[in-house]
Amino acid sequence: MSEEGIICRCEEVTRQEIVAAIRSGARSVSAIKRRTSGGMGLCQGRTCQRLMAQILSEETGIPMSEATQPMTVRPPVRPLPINDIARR
Amino acid sequence: MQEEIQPESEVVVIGGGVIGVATAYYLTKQGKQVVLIEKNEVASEASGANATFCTLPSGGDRLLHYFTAKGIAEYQKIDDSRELGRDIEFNRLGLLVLIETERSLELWKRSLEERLEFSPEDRIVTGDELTELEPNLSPIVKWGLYSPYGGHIECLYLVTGMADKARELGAKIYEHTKVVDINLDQGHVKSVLTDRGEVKADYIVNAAGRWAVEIGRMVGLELPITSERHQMVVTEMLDRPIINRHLISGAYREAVLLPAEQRKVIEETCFLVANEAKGNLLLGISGDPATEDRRVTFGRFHDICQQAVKYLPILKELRVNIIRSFANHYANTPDRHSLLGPVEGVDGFILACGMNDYGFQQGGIVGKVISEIICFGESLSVPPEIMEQTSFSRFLK
Repeated sequence: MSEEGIICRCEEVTRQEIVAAIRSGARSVSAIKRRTSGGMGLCQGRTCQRLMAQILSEETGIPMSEATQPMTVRPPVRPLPINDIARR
Repeated sequence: MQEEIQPESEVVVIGGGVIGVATAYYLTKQGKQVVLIEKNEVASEASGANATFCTLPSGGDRLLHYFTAKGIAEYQKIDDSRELGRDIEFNRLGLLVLIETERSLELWKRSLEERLEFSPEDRIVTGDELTELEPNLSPIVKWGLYSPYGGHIECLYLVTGMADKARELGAKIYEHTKVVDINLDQGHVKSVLTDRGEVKADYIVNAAGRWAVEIGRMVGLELPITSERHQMVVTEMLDRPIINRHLISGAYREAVLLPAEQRKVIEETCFLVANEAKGNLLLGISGDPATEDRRVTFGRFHDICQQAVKYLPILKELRVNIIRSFANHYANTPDRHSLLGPVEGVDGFILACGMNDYGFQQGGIVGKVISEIICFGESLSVPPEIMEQTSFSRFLK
């Protein structure tokens, strides 16, 4: 995949930005997330988490089994309109 | 896979939040050898899960105003010089406090007097000026305290940026590494024992946030720190900005003026944050006792959203989606002053903890003065009579 290829579509984070985060010190998917915001958007990492783990594994040699440690799941599980939550 | 821990260092910093990382950053800039130990990952606790307010406090006395104003000034230098080699998304749009009642207005007028020393352009606004600043506010907000000093910084980018820079300058940062004990030798720190081995050190900095109490006990200190839980939800990216700066409800001041043990969530205590760079909003609430759970409770989830639509009815018109939630813990002291500097009887043990909700804002100046104490034997950026007020000895009198 090209360097400009988008890995996290929601936050528009490219492969190049993920690689830069790893080279500057990120050693887990969560650490990549903190440096790039990848995985923090609308889908909360459903698609990009595995791609980020693959790049992490390629770049550092960390085995996939370790690299795929999931990010913390934070509610709500899918986007919820504020109107529905605010209603008593 | 894990590399061996460095067996010796001039300084060991315990804690990879903003305080520990800033300390490591300023120390390495002075050429000091630094090992930083973090039990989880850099910025994985309160420093990575906060409201991103980089403004003067909405409660607290002159000392807290002094340290936050100095801290924000350090971040302005970091932002202006681009020394981290990355954007920290500092928007410098300030803060607007939302005031609904005469009683609240009186409290904020008093606060304004405290603030003017550090932010001379702060003022009470109402009518057209208020509408112009924030056109989407509900009419229940009758006044505002507008404070143009500071604004939003993406704390995650700031802290990971400083950590990466410190590493580049030679600091060793060990994540997923726990401090097990601290060894002393005749009243002087000798080494830090971790689950990955021992590190000998001349100085040990306790920047462990809410866990600073446990680290303190390892050298026989009982630090008066209690935790408080803040909860936040995140909206989707909005197509266009509906607020222009950080907003905080005026009732927050009434809450923070209460002594720590009486502090509870006040229903009106909701703060809202513009996340300018990406267009998400952070909506949050504070004041629950700490638990190990980092999730938002269902009741609070509801309270936060209800407060948000009360102040910004447009959120409802746009049917804005909530995509994420998180909670964190702040470390409070009884007098709401931080714990900084050396401790009598334990040579080489340096405190940098008890930040009372304002660790992020104070991080820049705290990191700097701690590095000065270690490198030059005294604080240069903050005068001794001010440092004295943050000393642990005040609790021993």
